[in-house]
Amino acid sequence: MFLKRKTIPENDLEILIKGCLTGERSSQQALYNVYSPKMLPLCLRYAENQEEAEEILQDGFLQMFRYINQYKQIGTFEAWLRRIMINCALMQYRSKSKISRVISLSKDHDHVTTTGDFLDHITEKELIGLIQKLSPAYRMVFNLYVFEGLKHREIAHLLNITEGTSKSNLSDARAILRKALTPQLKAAK
Amino acid sequence: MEEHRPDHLDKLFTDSLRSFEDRPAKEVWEKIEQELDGDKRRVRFLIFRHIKVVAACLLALSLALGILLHVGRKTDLAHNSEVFHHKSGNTGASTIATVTPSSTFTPPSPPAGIHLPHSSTPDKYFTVTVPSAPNAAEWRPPHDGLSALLQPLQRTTSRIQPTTSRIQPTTPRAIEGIPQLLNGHVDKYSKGNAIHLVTRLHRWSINGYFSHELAGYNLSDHDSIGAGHKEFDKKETSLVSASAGILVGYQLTKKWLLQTGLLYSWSSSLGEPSTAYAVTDNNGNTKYLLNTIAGYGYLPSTSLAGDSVKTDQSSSRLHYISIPIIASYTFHKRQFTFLAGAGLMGNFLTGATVRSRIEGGSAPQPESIVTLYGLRKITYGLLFKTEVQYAILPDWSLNLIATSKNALTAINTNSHYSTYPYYMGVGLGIKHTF
Repeated sequence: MFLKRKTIPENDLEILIKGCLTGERSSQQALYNVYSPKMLPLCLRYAENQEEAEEILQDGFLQMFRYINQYKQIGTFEAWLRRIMINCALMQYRSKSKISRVISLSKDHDHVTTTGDFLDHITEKELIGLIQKLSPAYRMVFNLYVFEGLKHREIAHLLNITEGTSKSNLSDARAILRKALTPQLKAAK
Repeated sequence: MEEHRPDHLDKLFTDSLRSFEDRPAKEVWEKIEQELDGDKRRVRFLIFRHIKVVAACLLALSLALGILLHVGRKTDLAHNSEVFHHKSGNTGASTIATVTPSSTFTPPSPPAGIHLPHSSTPDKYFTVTVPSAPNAAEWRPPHDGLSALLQPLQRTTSRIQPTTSRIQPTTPRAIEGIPQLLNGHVDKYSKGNAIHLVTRLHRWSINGYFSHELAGYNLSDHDSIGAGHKEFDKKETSLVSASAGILVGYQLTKKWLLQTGLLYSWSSSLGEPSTAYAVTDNNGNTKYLLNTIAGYGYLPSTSLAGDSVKTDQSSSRLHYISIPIIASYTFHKRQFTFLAGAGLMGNFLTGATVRSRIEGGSAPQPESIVTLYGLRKITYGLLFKTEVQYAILPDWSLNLIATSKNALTAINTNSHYSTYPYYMGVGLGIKHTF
């Protein structure tokens, strides 16, 4: 389902945050309704499937409601919430890191294939699907580097890997995605 | 310096997904609501538990005060009834009658007209007033004169029953242990034409001690997000803690002692290197959040970029001042006194810090000592204490003390887990009775 990007006026946001600070359920739900459609794609990129993404989203919103008193309106609320979501995704990744390592050794996950000839018709969900098919280690590095704009040094700190591994994972992830999209890229030219 | 180099593929993804939105399933909000309801229930439960603890403390305090007042009055009656003051009505001279001076004592038949005032007798002494009636004036105590008075108070006693207005001796009962309690002090002084005997009781004591403790933490998880506390169990090690304090004791009865005072305690724990995430602190500054088993601290951020940093080992230290109220059962064996007691403590947080250092970077980062947040200012706990006292002088003794303290309330707030510390300690002390 595609949605029009909603924006919320600053004053309304302030009222909703104040409501959340007092634990008002209607404000919490309103804030969730505004921001959950923006946050779900982010969670989907970090997760392996829809259920995992919704778990991250749920954890992220719970954290946000619990610690909303720590939001001091420096920077946008959306950026603060994004950071929470990313941290939740990282926590989930770390808790599954052992499994992830095993999966990353599997060759199957290193071959992402597209299901049709579609660059012009490619949907956002299909692009997310390609990212989700990457191994967890590749997916994390790709997301953090490409979407969050982090440097390899920072990614290495976050994921407890070396900078070299981070660079190598990014390179591999790009190669896999490029290969998966080759027919479409050629068609685009 | 490393540069961020996006390529064509990166741009394809970022451009395509920049404005993409998707609505999650309805169940997600329902689950969030359930969790939030759970939070509220937990808060209500904690408030309820808090109220219960306060109520228990108040109840214990009022019971202790009640016992103190009641037993205090009873012991006044018991001890002071051993001596009474007889005033001869016709001569005005005072004589003292000592009731039950020995086990072989046969109580005399008191003449009619001897009145024992009620327990509200001035100076808390029972006075036998003999009226000027002739038969009353002829009555004499079995041991006349001051020499009789100075015979030690010992072994048996009689109960004076004011309602009957007669001295009614009862079956003699042994009062072993009283010598330790009274410490053999018998003072005499004269007031007007009356002579009073006072048995002085060592009711009060002051006890200073220092104790080394081993601290541990019981963690209770609040939510289903993850096994965060298990991570802390592995990551944080309790170091040796200590406490020192002064306890003032009041001997309620021969066997029961009530103590209160001031204790200062500090405990520390060592955390393994971990990752700290950049968050906005309470003042709106972006800092690295360092979590510990007790609370969290904000390490100064040296770089605005990045979401996390590696931290070195962290050492957190908590300082408390506690006010305990302890009831102890005591018994004596030669020069030793043994105590076993239990009580409640109110703990007031006086300081909480965490010390750590951000790792990495081109230059070594300085170590930071920062305040720990997310801690309760007042907590309550149970205290169990056993003590062996060895009398080195009549009024002084050395004590070996073993304590166990358990938190009734969690020391932290706003966290996914509650931390309940416990301490086991062994210490030495010195006690003075007066």
